[in-house]
Amino acid sequence: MQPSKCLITLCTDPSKDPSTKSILSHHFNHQLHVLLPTGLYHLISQSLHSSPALATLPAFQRLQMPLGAILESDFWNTYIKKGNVLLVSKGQLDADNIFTLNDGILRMSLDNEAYERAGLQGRQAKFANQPGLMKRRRFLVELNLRSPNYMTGSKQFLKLQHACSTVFPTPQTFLFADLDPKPQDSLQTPVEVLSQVPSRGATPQVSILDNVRVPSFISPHDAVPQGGGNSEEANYHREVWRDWAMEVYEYMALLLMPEGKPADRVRAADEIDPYLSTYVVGDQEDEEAGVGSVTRISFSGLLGKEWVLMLWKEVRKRIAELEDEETRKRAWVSMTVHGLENVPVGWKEVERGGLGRSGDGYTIVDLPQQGGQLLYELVGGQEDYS
Amino acid sequence: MASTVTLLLPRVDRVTIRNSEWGYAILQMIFEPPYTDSSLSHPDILTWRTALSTALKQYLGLFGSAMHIDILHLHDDEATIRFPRTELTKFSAAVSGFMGAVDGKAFGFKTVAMGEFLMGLLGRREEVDLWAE
Repeated sequence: MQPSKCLITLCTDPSKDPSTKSILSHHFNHQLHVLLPTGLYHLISQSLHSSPALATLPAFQRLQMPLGAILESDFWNTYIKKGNVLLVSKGQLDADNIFTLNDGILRMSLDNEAYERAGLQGRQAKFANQPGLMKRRRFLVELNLRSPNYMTGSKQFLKLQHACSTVFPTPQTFLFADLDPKPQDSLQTPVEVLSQVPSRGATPQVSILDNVRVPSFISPHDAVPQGGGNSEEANYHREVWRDWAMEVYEYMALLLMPEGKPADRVRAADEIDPYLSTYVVGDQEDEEAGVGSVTRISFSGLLGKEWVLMLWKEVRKRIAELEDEETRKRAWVSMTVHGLENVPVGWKEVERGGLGRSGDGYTIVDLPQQGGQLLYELVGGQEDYS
Repeated sequence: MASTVTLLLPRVDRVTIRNSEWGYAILQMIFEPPYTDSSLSHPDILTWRTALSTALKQYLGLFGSAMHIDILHLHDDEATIRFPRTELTKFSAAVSGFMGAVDGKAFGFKTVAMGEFLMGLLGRREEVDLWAE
């Protein structure tokens, strides 16, 4: 099995923006963290908190229902035929039966028994089946519920309804998010399964991380991600760049420890014996590194990709609009988004398997001093994405 | 001279990291029977280092006790640990099979998340809260 990997993109061309494409190809997100220097946060916080992205915070609900509940006419007409919702069931990919719904496409990752009993048209799972074995363990069913074949009462619809009532009748835990919410009163009858549980909003948690070590975010001199030929020297420069990029990635993670705290090792006051840890922030040659304060804005819930993009654009716009050129030049900002790991499709809705993962999601860093934009994308071992 | 020119041109570069330098783990220390006083069940960094050394030595002998470990963060009864990625399998086996004794209590480790990229592990850790009641 392939190990998981991390794709790093460095974009120094201001006319291109690879991050937008990545944000829009990642559907099921559950955590979002923005990191930026506290000084910069104070400059933009007022206009940011009144921006549309923060005015309409995404809400989500945890439901206990059988899968068949989505076929009830209220739910079906409001959320599947007309609206746009995210729905995902609890469980582990390639171990449990998983149901997900986005953009009107219902996906079911099923074991052999459930697949045969359900009698729905699907295909063999790409990764969960051992090569050479005749018997298939797992299947993936993909149904476009918005297609005309799924009119209420049509043959396909009844087939799905039958499968739901005979094979998946037990209520299970789902996360549900309405990506296109309408004002409350426009819905004459609220959908029954949804009215029974409270809706939870993704309220931002702002934490100020004071007295932490901050690297310069400037790559070492001569280090390049690519190019330079085959010489030993060029190879060395590429290696240095990779190490630097991974250090930045690791540092970002160390600012995102639980309960809004930075890791013990990035605190300025930390003096640790090398027997316990040899970690240091940044390179020794990084002269611009210092002690500072970083602000972290965190959201959690079931977050749709459009909202994530809106928020990121708002943050970048606020920084680009700053009057002082020097501040703008020295500004850095990053956004990390964590995705749900049990969804049977990953990046660009390409099928993936449940093993060999080291998390799911991406991190974007806008580097200071016109260093460009860094993008880190996590890809599992059983996932074709490049 | 040619290389300097390419550096200045705006461009998009892509690099794939497969063989990262480090592996990471978020571990929880579990005591049986559990401490009733919660402050005692949050081990300090020296306790962690000693416990991990013991576990590694027990499973891997002298090579295990020589394994490079960095303790990056402590949070309640959890520790975030970094070690060479090439030792990931060994580290994982050593901590998951370990059972020690202290204070008349048995203790062991529970793996919250383990893998090549620390950022990914954090997402996995947080996902648990999302599904919890």
